[in-house]
Amino acid sequence: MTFPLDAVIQGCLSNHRLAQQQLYNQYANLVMQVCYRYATDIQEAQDMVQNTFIRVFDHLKQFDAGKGAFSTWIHTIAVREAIALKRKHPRWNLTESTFAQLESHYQSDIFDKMTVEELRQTVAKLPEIHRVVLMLHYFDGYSHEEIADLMGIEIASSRSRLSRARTELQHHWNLIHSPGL
Amino acid sequence: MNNQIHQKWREALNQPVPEWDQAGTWEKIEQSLPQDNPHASNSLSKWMVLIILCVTLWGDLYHNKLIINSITPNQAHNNTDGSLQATNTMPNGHVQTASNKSIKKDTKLSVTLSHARTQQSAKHSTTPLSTLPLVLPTGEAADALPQFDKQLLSGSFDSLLNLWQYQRTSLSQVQPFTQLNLSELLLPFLPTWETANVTSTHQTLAITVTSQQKKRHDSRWALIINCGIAFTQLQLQATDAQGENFRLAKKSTETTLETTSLSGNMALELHRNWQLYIGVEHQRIAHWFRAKQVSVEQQQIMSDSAMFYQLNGNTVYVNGQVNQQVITTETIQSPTAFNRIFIPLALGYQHQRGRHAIVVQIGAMLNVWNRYQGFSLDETGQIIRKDRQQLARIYRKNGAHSVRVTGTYSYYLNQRWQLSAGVAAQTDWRSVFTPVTQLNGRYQQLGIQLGMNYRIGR
Repeated sequence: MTFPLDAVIQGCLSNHRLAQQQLYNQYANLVMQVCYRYATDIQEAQDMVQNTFIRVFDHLKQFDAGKGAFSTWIHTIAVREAIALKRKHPRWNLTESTFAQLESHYQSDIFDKMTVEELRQTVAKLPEIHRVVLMLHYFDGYSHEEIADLMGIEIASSRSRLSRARTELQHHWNLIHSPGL
Repeated sequence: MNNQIHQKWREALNQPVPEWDQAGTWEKIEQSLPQDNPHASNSLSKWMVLIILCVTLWGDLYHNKLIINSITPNQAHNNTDGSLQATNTMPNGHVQTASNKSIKKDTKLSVTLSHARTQQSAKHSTTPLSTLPLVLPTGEAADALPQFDKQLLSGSFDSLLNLWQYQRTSLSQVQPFTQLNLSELLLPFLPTWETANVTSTHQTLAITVTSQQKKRHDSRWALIINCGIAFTQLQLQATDAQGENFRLAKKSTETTLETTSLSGNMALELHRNWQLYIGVEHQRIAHWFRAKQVSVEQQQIMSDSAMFYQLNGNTVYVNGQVNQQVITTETIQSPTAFNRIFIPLALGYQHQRGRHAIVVQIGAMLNVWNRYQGFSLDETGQIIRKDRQQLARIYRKNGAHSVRVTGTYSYYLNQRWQLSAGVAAQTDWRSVFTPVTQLNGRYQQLGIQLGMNYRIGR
């Protein structure tokens, strides 16, 4: 049974446990879909979902229905929580020199040539930190300013990481389609 | 182009989510949340539950008070063998006796009920409970005996007395003119009530086994008096252009107020929960009539400069009289009344549970008489006083039948008297206006009814 969202939110604001559970049941799958894209595995995605809903219940007063849909609001929080969790991961403490190792001389845009399946396979081979930037930019539509804000990096770094990710994708694609391999 | 790339990215990056532990995640979330606020739960529901509980308790106390009053302390006494016996003479001539002999352990515990009119003996052959199939009442029996449990069967005198009291009131309301036999609580339930022996040792209970089924489906009558008030709307439709003008004129002058009704009905219980209603009902629909009547006529009035003429280059004025148009506006504000008498013919379905009953009725209201008192407009727009000019029958006709649906809640005060309150919706099946008026008009009512029912046994 689905209850009116307004009533559920009011119940959550009153710290009504049943209302909180109802809100969770309604949006858990949506949040999981967002988090799983950024997670390494399902366990990490569940941690992201957990953090997301704790943040949602803590900051529910800030939700303004006049500014947008609740699903949009909770989607934004899910992305932020996913990135926040990723930032705690040691692999995210990569230095710029690490990225430099991934620099490639392939600069041409080959995405038009890729099929969806090839793109999916290639993205799966990317380092996580690149994959996250790609998803933030291409999937969730964040700008470099927003990515920089989310990830705690400079805007220029966001641009360079996305560029490297694209380059790396191209590299993998060339490896796949290289006749000598 | 850019959109196509984004779409391709979305398709590539949107990977399906495998099975995950949604419930376990919620448990972790729940541990991190602050304690549930019990005051934030539906306080309205709690208040409703509290009110219902209070009303129920009050009803029980009131009910028990009636029972206790019917068995006065001086009528309860200890027998010489240590048993307790209470005797009660009811106003209708019933003599009811309850005694407890189980205080002395090896003696019998019995509750004996006798009927003074029939002078039937309270002694019947008894069978130990252990030899009877223990079949708890179901369906209608279970509804009628919610307190029927092991504690009552094997308990003390008080518990058995309570059982008896409950049966005396509850079952007699369900089938007040039939008889209860306690044996039928264990066998297929047939609520009869006349005499019963309950004999028991301190652990077993024996129940009289007799069979009295003849009055199970006996019909009974009830006299019902209802009064009500309803909000009424008169929907007017014209039949042609002239009628449309008339409709607009009437609509602008007449404002329908409320409807009051007084009815007396006879209800015949047909079979089980079905009832047939017939009676007579008077309805009075109040209108407020506001109209302005404009009359134009020629009157001769004195004029200072009524006439003049030229005489030798001079203007000569002559006083005189001239005809002048005089407009008289008469505003009439008057309450008017439309009285109607119906013969209700309805079919009802009653669902009863203890002292409470819900009745849903649907039926026809046969209109047999109408009378309109007060002012109205005729088809030419003139104000007429219908009751004086004996024109009422032209505008409101007899035979403007209605259809009514009623939902009523009844509360049994005792076997005879009930209080009822309900909601009724009524609409005219036919127009209340005659064809002369070139109008179709139907009253639509929605109101409440309060009533008192008095049941008559055959």
